[in-house]
Amino acid sequence: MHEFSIALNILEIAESTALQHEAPGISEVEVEVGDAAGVNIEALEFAWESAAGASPLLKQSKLAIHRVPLLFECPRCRHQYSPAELDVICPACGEKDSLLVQGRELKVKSVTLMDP
Amino acid sequence: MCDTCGCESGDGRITIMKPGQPGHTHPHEDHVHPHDHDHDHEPEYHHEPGHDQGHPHEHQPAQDHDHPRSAGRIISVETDVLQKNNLLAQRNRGYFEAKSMLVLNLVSSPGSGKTTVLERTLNTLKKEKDLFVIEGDQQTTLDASRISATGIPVVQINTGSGCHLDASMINMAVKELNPSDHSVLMIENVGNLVCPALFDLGENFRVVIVSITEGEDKPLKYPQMFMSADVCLINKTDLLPYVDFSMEKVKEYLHRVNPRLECFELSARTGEGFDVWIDWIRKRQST
Ligand SMILES: Nc1nc2c(ncn2[C@@H]2O[C@H](COP(=O)(O)OP(=O)(O)OP(=O)(O)O)[C@@H](O)[C@H]2O)c(=O)[nH]1
Ligand SMILES: [Mg+2]
Ligand SMILES: [Zn+2]
Repeated sequence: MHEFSIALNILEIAESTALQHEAPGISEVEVEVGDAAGVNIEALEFAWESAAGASPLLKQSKLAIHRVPLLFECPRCRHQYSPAELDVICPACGEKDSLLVQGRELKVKSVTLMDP
Repeated sequence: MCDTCGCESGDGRITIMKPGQPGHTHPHEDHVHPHDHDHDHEPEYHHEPGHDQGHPHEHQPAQDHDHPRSAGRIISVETDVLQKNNLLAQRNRGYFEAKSMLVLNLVSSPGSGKTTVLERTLNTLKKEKDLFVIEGDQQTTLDASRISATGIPVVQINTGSGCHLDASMINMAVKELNPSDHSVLMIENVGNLVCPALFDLGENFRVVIVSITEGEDKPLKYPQMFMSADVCLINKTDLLPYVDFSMEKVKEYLHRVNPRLECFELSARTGEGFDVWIDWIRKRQST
C-alpha cells in the first residue's frame, strides 16, 4: 500500500507551502495522477483521509484528484492515441514502439490556502 | 507513520544489519521523512489555530473549474509528489557514478527467484569482480544469510510493514557496505510487483524477474513495473515441461507494455541460460 506514502508526500508538500505563505491552513490540495502512475485512486483517497486528519494544517482539506489519461505517440507516423490500457502498438500503422507521452504524472498542482 | 513505507505499526523503524552482527534501527528522522509523528522539530506547527477553527468558510464554485473550488488563495505548486525520493536517488546515482559502479535493482513478486538468481550470479562473477549486495525484506535476515554464504558482503534492510525500498534506505545501507570502486552492487527489493515500481533507488538498471509458474499475464496486470524495467529475466525455465506456459505469449505481453525491455530466459536452479545474463552484466560494467 504505497498510496499511504504517496499521501504523506503530498501532505508534506502542501504543509510546506502553507508554512511558506504563513497560512493558517489549507482547504484544498489539487493533484494530478496519471493512469500509468501506478497509483490506485481509491486507495489514495482512503490514505488521504487518515493522513490529512492527523495534520493540524490539513485537517479540513479536500484532495481534488485529476486523472490524466494515457496518451501514446507513434514514432513512425506520429499518430496519437489514448488506449484504455498500456499498448505500444500503433492503431494507425501497426508499429510496435509507441511512446507514452502522457499518463505518468504524479504531482501536486496547487494548494488553496485558508485566509488568515 | 512513515512516509516512505506507510508503516503505522509500533516504533516504525527501519532496521539495517549485517548477518552475524547485531542490527541497529534507524529512527524515522533518518530516512526521508517529511511528516514527523509528533512534529517536535517543527515548532511552527504548534501555533494556535485560534479563530480559524470555528470559522465557517463558504465553499463557492469557481468558474474556471469543473468542481466546486474551496475558497481561499490558490497557490500554484507544480511539484512532483515523489520529488524527495527522486532527489535522493539522484544523489545515490552520483555517488555510484563517481565510483564507476554498476548498480542493479532486482524486483519481482514474492518467490519468483530473486535470491536464487543472485546466488548463482554472485558465484559466477565473484572471481572476476568486486560484488556487493543489499537485501530488502519486510522481516528476517534469511535472504542475507543465503547471500552471505557465497562470501559476498551483504547488508540486510528490514522495512517492517513497508512494501518497498526507497532511496534513503539505500543511502544508509551503502554507508554500511562501503562498496569499492568499479564494483557491482545488486539490490534485492522487497517481493512486490506494485510499490517498488515508483521508487527510484539510484540504480543504473532495473531488472524484473518473472517465473514461468506465475502465468503469462503478469506484465499486463502490473504494467508499471514492467514499463519501468530495463531487463526482464524469465526464470524457472527448468519447469517448462511441467507447466502450461507460453514463452511467446509472455514476450508479446512484455513488449506490449515496454518494447525496449531486454528479455533473458533462464533457470536459476540449473543455470540454463545464465551465460547470456552474465554477459549482459559484463558488458554493462565495461561501458
Ligand atoms: N525449479 C526452480 N525453482 C526455482 C528457481 N529459482 C528459484 N526457485 C525456487 O523458488 C523459490 C523462491 O526462490 P527465491 O530465490 O527465494 O525467491 P525470491 O524472489 O527471492 O523470494 P522473496 O525474497 O521471498 O520475494 C525457492 O524455493 C527456490 O528454490 C528455478 O530456476 N527453478
Ligand atoms: Mg528473496
Ligand atoms: Zn503509427
